[in-house]
Amino acid sequence: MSYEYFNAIWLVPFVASVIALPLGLKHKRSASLVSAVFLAVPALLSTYLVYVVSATGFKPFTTSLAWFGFGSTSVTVGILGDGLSAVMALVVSWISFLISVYSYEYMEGDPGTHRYWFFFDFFVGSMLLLVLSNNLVLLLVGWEGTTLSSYALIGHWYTDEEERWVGDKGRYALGVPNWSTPSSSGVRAIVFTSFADIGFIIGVGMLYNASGTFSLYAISQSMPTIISTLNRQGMLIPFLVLFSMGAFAKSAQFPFHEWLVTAMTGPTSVSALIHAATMVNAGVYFMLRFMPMIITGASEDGLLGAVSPFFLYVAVIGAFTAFMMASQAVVSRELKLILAFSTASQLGYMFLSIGLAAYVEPSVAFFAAFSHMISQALFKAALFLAAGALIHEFSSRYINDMKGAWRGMKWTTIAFALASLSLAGIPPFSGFWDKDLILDLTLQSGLWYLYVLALAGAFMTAFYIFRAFTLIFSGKPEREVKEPGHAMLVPYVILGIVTLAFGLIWPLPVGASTWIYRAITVDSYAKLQLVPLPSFNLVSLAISLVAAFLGLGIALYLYSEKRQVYSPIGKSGALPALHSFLYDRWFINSAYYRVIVGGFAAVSHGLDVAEHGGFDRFYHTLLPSAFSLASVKLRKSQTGVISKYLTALFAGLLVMVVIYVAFLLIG
Amino acid sequence: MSSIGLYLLIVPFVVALLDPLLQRALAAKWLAALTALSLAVPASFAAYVILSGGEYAYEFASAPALGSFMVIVDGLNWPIVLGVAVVSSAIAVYSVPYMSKRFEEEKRGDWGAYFMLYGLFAASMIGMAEANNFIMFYVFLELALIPSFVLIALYGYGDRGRISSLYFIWTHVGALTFLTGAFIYGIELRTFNFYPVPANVSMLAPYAVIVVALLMIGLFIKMAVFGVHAWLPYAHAEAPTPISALLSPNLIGIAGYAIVRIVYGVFPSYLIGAQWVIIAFALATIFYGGLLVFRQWDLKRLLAYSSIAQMGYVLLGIASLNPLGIAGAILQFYAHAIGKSVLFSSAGVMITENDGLRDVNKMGGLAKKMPYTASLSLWGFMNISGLPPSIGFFSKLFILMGVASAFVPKGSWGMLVFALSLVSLGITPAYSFMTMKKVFFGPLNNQGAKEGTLMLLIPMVIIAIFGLLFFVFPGALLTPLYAYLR
Repeated sequence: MSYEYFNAIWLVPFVASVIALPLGLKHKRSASLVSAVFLAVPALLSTYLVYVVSATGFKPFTTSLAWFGFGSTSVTVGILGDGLSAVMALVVSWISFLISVYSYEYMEGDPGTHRYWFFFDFFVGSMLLLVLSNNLVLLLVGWEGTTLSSYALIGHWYTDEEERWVGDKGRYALGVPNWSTPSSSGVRAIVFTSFADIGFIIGVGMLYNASGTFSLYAISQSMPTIISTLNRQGMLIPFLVLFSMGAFAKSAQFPFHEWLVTAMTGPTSVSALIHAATMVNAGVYFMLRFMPMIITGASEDGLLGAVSPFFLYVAVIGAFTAFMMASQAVVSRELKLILAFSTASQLGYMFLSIGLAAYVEPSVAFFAAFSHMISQALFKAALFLAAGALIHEFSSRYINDMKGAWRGMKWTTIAFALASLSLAGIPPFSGFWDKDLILDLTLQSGLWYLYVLALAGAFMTAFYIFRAFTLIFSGKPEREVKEPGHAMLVPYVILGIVTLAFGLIWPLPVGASTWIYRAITVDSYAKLQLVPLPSFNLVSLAISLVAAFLGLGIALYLYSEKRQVYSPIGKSGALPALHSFLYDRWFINSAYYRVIVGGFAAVSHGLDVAEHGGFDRFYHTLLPSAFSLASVKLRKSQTGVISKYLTALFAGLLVMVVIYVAFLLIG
Repeated sequence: MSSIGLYLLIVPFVVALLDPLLQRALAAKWLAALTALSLAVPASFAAYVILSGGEYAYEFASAPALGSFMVIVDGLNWPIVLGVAVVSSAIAVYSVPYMSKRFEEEKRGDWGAYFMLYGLFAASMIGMAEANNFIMFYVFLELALIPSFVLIALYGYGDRGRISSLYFIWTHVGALTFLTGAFIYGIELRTFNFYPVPANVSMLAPYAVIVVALLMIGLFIKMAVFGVHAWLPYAHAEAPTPISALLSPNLIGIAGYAIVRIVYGVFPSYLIGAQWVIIAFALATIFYGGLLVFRQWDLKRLLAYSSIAQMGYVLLGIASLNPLGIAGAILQFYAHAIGKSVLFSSAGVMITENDGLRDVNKMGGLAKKMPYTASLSLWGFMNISGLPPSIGFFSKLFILMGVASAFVPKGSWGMLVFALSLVSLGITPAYSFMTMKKVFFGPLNNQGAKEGTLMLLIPMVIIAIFGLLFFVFPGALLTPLYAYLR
């Protein structure tokens, strides 16, 4: 049976992109409409894809159309339909569709509508291509396509008006600006991610060198050989680090997290789509695609010990990012920044879980990460979309300028609350189920320091999101606020409801969890084992519930209207220092500018000096003057006096004779 | 083999030489169209040969002690021929509005002479790519150098007298070093052929190291590798922009092609011994050229430094000494030809339409006034940063795959190469998108800025399309190229 028509899932958005650009120049509304209509196609088709895949018991299928070949390698345009890709495509395409509906109203009247839709649709096509591709070349095309559109959309408002900035104008940390403009945020994003992608591509090269193929299926089959070859070359760990580097940057894991923070200069719809619900998940998708085959391949070789340092590194980075970004969200005043910190932090939990695969039952660890990714996509998209409406309504991006939104925006409040509860890890939301599973696995792994970081992060998560919630929605509004129009409101209300529904059906005996678990485990290329999911560990459950409720409760208590302890920290002492440390993003951004950017600038300056004072002067001043000096000096020997010439002639002959005789004597 | 390929290669030369006679009868735009069409002729033939799955080699003369003289078209030179032809045909049209402005500024100018020199310059680059013999290669090299030198001397900017002679002397030092190597080769082997590789090439053994060294040094100078790059920023920045658009991506890149065709083709084992030297030069060139881009405020000079870095990419692919990396290097020639010619043309739009605007610090926010130039520049930078859907995606992919394959077995030195590649290649997107920001984004600095006319923009769009086309059909370049390299 041929499934070629599933290629339309990624192809149709590209078609939309090509149509929207010229159309949007003159007819902005039509471009929006065309995009939304076109994006319904992948949503419906990927729903059908999920049906097809699940009806065949999650048996992977691939399609292939010839693209190009070199030597004995042929690269196809083809998709891989399996549980992982189908569910990813489902989530991505539906969220994209909902956000395109939202954008119809949100971007109304924007003079750059044509560019917006061009890159928006281009993004959706690239993202779906990335997710569905059955080979590494096509995956890379999608991967870098998302980088490009992310860059363009972050800098959408390229004229850099002040209301488009993030961070506090005039605030410096260690002499480095705390704020960023859209055009520089775009550069930051593309520089961080394309730097890491170079590592990714070198990794692809190493993989190709070891296997001679780009096909995901063929790579998964020869993974044991690849791993033992790389291990013999002493390149196993360098390979893993380089190969996954792109994923770390895409998913904003330390030390690549900084780009995501300033990416908030883009339109909020873009932040929701690219920088919360889909593109940043590409890194997690990548890990879920390749790490299982690496784990099972390595255990087949008996080399689990050789790869486990890498998995520990993944887990440590994940837990650290989860903790660090949550701590920054605690003090942030900008709604979008809180959500951005939160996104990186939640992605950290997923990386933590993936890293644990070498320490606990791998199938379960991968499942926990995958489930949390789906939960995060749903609730974070809802939060961002609601945030867009709130920021617009209050004409401010700061949460302390927002107040009493509940009065005029009941639906928004409900959607925001549903999403926040899931983020905070409150039962029965899915954010509770899967985050608890991750915490439980961390406890099982015996890596206690990771557990401490993750638990502290969970506490802070509940705290920061309810801090924002309380400030925004409680109290009396200073002026009347009202709900946005239906095109904006309906998408995030739907997402809020889906968040709740997903949580409700998650733990059922034939519920979402078992279905998703089967989807990524049964018959997977990585040959994962379908071991039973662990039952709840009551100790871990109790601890994480206490952490979540404590965070939530403290936030409600501190920030409710009556208390107003919003800014009681003094001018001196430990608390303001801590606040500044967190508010200035652990000074990591400043360190990057001081050390890396400053370092390169100094080297560049030094090279410039070398260029002018060294190369340029040597070649274009010293060398020519040496020649002209020689010319002046040598000219003096041309005296015209015959006797001098004859003397020189005989002297020359004498030298030649001496050399000749010397040669004869030696020879 | 039929002689048709030879005659079609001669067509652009004949047209170029007729241009001075035709200028009375034809307006500049018709001369441009004629030049553009004539340059497309040999490339169309190459396309026909390659896309019908074949190769072409026609011997039109031979002489004892000199070897045979052939016109060759195969997988290796087809991307070069195509790159040169696409850029030079389109830029011929672009020349009309640009050079008429330049003629006005200079209060003199001669369309017949311009298109004759332009046509000779461009056609000779195709000739270099299709030559099989050192003598033929060198003749075409001179035929490219002299017209380009004259064009800089006549219509260049700044201190053009000094800069054109600087360009002339530098390239001749390179050319003569190369020629010395070629003479030793020819005298010893009694043939100047490098293709097909002479059967008696092993007779060269006692001198082979010297020959390889001389050829490599000559080509390194031509390619502006780190250390012998000092001439390039002057020549490429001060040449009239259409000439910069040909010089920068095409002429210097052909030196990279010549390393592959001649040095790698004839003496592969000697390059293996020098692999560490080549990779060191490649990384140094990328790093040095890339970091110096940040110190440039003249847009054309900025692009010239970027060209140095891009030649480092070509050399990096070559340094892998495997078919993957070398295929990447040849694709990089093509990608850079597309990207850099579009970028130089964009710089030219600023110059013609905005009173010689070249200072990056005086730009900013221009996307508002020049949306098409901004989009085309973005496309140019995407090609050189290797972002899809540009052909640069494939060149970067293959260069890095070549490097990965070559250095994976080399232990910690291999790791060092990977780390340095990461750092130096990471510079390209940084300077590319910083430049985009400085020039096109942020608050508008120049209220009176004007978009280019269609006659400037359409040729740029055509070049750009050729970057997209071979992203969609990479096999058209890659499959024959890889087959040749194997």
